[in-house]
Amino acid sequence: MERTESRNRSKLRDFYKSQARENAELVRNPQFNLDSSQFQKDQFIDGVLRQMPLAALLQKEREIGREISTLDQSMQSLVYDNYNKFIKATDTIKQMRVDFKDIEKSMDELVSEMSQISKLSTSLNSKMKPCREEVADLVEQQETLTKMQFLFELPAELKRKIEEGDFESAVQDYVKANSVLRNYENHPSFKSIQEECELEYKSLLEKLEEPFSNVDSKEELLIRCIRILKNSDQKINAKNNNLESFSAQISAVLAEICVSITSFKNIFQSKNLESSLVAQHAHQSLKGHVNDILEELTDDFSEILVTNDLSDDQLSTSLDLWYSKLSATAQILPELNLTGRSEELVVNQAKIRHDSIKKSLFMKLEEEILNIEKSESPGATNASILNLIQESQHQLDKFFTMSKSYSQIEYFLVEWNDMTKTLRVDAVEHIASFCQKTLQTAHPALLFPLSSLASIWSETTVDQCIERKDRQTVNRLKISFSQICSAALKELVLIRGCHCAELIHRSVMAKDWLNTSEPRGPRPIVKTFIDEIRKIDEECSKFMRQGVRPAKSTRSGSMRIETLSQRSNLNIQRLFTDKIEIYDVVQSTTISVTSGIIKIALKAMLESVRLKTFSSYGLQQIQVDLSCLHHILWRYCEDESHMSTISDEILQSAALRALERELMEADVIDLIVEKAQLA
Amino acid sequence: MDENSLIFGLESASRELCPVVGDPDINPTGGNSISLLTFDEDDNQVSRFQFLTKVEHWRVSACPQDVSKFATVSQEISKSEDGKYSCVAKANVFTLENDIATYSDQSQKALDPTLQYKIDNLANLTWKPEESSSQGLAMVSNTSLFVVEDLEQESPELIAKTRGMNGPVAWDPHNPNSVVAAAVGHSARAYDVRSKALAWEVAHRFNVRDLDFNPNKSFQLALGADDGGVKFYDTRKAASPVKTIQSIHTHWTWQVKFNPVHDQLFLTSGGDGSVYLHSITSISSEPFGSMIEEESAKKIDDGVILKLDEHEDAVYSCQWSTANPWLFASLSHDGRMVINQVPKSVKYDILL
Repeated sequence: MERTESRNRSKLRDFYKSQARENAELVRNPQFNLDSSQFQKDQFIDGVLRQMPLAALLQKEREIGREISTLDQSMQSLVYDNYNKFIKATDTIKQMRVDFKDIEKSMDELVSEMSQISKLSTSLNSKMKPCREEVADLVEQQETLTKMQFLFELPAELKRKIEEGDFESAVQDYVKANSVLRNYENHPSFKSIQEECELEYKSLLEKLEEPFSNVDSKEELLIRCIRILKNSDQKINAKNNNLESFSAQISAVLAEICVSITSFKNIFQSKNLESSLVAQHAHQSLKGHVNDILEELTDDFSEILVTNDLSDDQLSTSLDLWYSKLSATAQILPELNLTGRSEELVVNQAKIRHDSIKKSLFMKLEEEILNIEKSESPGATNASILNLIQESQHQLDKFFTMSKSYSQIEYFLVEWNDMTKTLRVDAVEHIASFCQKTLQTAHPALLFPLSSLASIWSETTVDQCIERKDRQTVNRLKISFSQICSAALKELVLIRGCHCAELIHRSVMAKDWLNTSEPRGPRPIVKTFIDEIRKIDEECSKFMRQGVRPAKSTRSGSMRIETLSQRSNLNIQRLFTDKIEIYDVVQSTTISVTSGIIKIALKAMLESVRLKTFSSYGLQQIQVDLSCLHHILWRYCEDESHMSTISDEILQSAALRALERELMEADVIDLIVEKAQLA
Repeated sequence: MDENSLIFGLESASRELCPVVGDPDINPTGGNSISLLTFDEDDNQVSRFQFLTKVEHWRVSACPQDVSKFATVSQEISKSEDGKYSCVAKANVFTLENDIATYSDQSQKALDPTLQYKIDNLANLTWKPEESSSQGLAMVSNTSLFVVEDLEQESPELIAKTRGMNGPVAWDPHNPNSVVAAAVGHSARAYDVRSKALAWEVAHRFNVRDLDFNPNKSFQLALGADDGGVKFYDTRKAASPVKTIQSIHTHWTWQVKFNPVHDQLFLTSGGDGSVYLHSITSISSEPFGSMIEEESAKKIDDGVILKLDEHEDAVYSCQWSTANPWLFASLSHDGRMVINQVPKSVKYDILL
C-alpha cells in the first residue's frame, strides 16, 4: 500500500518536473520545440540540418522515428480501448430515443386527462357556489334567532334563576343582555323585555341586600353578594377612547366605588361586625376588588393619554383631575396602595411631555440654524433662537404650577426640577453639536452666518442663556462655540479659496504661454479674481469686524522685481524668510478671511505656473498680472510681505520655466497697471 | 545604521521620483537628464549615474517586470521659422544595455529612447503592475486615457475620453490586466480596459491630486486632494470614505503611497514642503498586528509617526523603496532628495 503510494508520488513528481523543464525550453525558443504550438517545421529542419553533424542527425532521425511510432501505437491503443465504449454509448442513446417516444405519448395523454379533471373541478366549484352562500345565510339567521330567543326568554329565565338562588348566572345573563337591550330601546317589543328584566333585576338586588340586614347570615353568602356587586360594576368598564367621556366615566366609577365602600363600612359598623373573621375576609376581598378596578382604570387612562394628542392644558387638567379624585378615594380607604402607581403615571407623563417639548424645540432650532442664510442677520437668528428656548421654558412652566394637585408629590417635584434645569443647557449643547455637524456638509453660503452666530454665542449668548452658577458648563460651551466659529471660518476660507484657486489654475493651464503677444494689460482672470475678493470682502463685512488694515507705506501696492535671482540664491533667500502656511488659522475678521483666500489662490497660481513653459512675452504677462493683483489686493492682506513673497516665488518659478528670461521694465509695468483701471 | 535621514541635492528642478524594482535604487528626472541613484545601505551613501537626454522629462516610471526598462513623459519645445513655438509631448521607453548594477559610478552617458509614442498634452504614465502578464503602459493626457497592452503594439489604444484629467493614474494591483483608475477633477474614475466602460467612480469635495491602491487589500483606494488631507475609500461603497485624515498638509497633498509590504505604513507629501509617515493600522490588511506571531503582536495606533520638514519647497513626490520596505525617499521641486527610514521602534512593533 505504502509502496504504491510512494511510487505514485514519484511518478507525479517526474511528470511535473519534466513538464517544468519542457515549459522552460518552450519559452526559450518556441519555434524549435516539437511540442510548442508555434512550432515551424521548415525552420526546425533547416536548423537541425545546419547545426548537427551527420551522426547526430541520424540519431535525431531515429529518435524522431521512434517517437512517432510510440505516438502511433499509443494513439491506436487509445482508439481500441475506447472503441467498445463508443459503440455502447451509441446503442444506449438509440435505445433512449425509442424509450422517450413511448414516454412522450403517455405524457400527452396524461396532460389531456389532467386538463379534463381541472375543467370538471371548476364546473363543480361554480355549481356549489350558490349553495354555499345559502348555507352561510342560514347559519347567520340561526344565530340571530338563538339570540332573539335568549332575549325573549330572559325575563322568565331570570325569574327562575332568582327563585332557584343561582344569583351569579342571573347577573351574568343580565349584564350580557343589557347592552343589546339598550341599543334597541326604541323598539317597543324590546322595550317591554327590558322593563321586565329591570324589574327582575331589582328584585334580585333586593334579595341580595337581604342578608346584610340579617345578622345571622352566613359568611359565604356575604362574600357571594360582594362578588356579585363587583360584577355589576364591570359593565361600566367599557372601553372608551374619548378623553372627555372617559373623565366623566372615571368620576362616575370612582364615585360609585366610594359609595359602595362607604355603604359597605356602614353595614359592618352598624352590625358591629368589624372584629369578626367574616368581616375581615369581606374587607380583604373588597380591597382586592377595588384595587383591580383601579388598576384597570389606570391602564385605560395611560392608554388614552398616549393615543390622544393632547395639548398641554388638557393634559395638565386631566392629570390634575385624575390625581385629585384618586387621593379622595385613597382618603376613604387608606389601606389601598393607590399613590405609588398613579404618581408614577403622572411623573412618566410629565417626562414624556418634557421630552416631546425638547424634541420639538430641537427641531425648530435646527430649522432656524439652517435658515440662517435667509435671515436678516445672525443677530436676528440669535434672538429668535433665544425666543424659542424661552417659549419652551414657558410651556414647561405652564405644566407645573402649585395649583395642580399633583404638584404635592415629592418625587414629582424632584424630577421636575431636574428636567427644567437641564432644558436650557441641553438646548445650547444641541445647538453646538448641530452646528458642528452642519459644518461638515454645509453649503458655503451658510458658513459666514454660521461662524458669526457661533462667535456671538461664545461671546455673549451663552452667558445670557445659562445660569452663571454653573461656571464649568458655561466655560465648556463657550470654548466649543469658539471652536465652531474658527472651524467654520477655516472651512469657508478653504472652500472659497479653492474655488478661486481652481479658476486661476484653469486659466493658467488653458493658455498657450509660448505664443502670446506682448502684454498690454492684465488677463481677464485678474479682474475676475479681484472682483471675487471684493465680493467676499463685502459679504464678510456684513458679519464680522474689519480687523486691522495694513497701513499704506511707500512701497504698498507696487511690486518691484528688477533681477531674477539664481537658484542657489533662491534657496538662501528662503532660509531668511518665514515659511508661509497656506491653510492657516483664520481670525474672525474680514481681513483675515480675504488674506487667507488670496494666499490659497496665489499658491495655486504658483503650482500651475510650474507646470507650464513660457516665452519671454509669457513671462512678462505673468509679471503684469502679478503687479496688477498686487496693486489692488495689498489692502486685503494682513501682511503684505506674505503676498509679495508668494508673488516673488511665482515670478521666479515662471522664470525658471521660461525660454528667455527677459523681464519688463518697472516703468512700463506701472504704466500698464495705471491704464488697466482696476480700482 | 543610524536613523538620520540622508539628503541629496540635484542641481535642476525636479518633479518625479520612482523606485526601480529589485534594487534599492531611486531615480528622479531633472531638467534634461535622468539620474539613476543607487543607495548603498551599508555605507549610507548615494551614488549617481546620469543619463543625458535631448529633451526634458516630466514623469518617470520604472518597469516592474524588467529592471532595465523605464518609461518617461517628455516635452520638447521647438521654434518654427515664423517664430511660433510648438510643444510636443511624448511617451518614451528606455532600455538599459548593461546590468543595472554597473551604473553605479559617478559618471554620465547619453541615452536615447528605444520606443516613443506621441500623445498631445501627455501628463503621466504608469507601467502595469508586477502581477500583470505583459509589460504594458497606461497613459493619461488632460482629456484622454490610453493603454498600451504590450510594447509591440503600434499605437496606444484609447480607453476613455473625459475632460479634466489631471495626471494621477494607477492600475488596480488586484485586477492587474483590467482596471485602471485616473483622477478626473473632483473624482477618481476607474475604467475596465477590456470593455472600456466606467467600472466605478469615487467623488471627492476637492480636486484629486493623487491616488494609490492598497497593494495588500482589495478595493482599498487612497485619494490625496487639494484640501491637504487624505481619504480612504472602499471602491465598492464609494458614497463615504472608510477613513479620513483631515487637512494635515497646509497645502495640496501631492502624493500618497501605501507601503508595498506593510500597508499600515502610509506616506504623504504636500505642497507645503512636508512629508508625513502615517500609521493607518485600523484599516490596513493587518488591523490587529501581524497574524503570524499573535501573542507578541503590538498594535500601533493610527496617526502621524514621523513628520519630515527637511524640504524647503513643495514636495511633489515621495516613494517607498521596493527592495527594503522600511526605506522611503522624497523629492522637492528644488531638487533636494531625502532618503529616510521608518523609526526602529515602529519597525519592531510591526515585526515582533
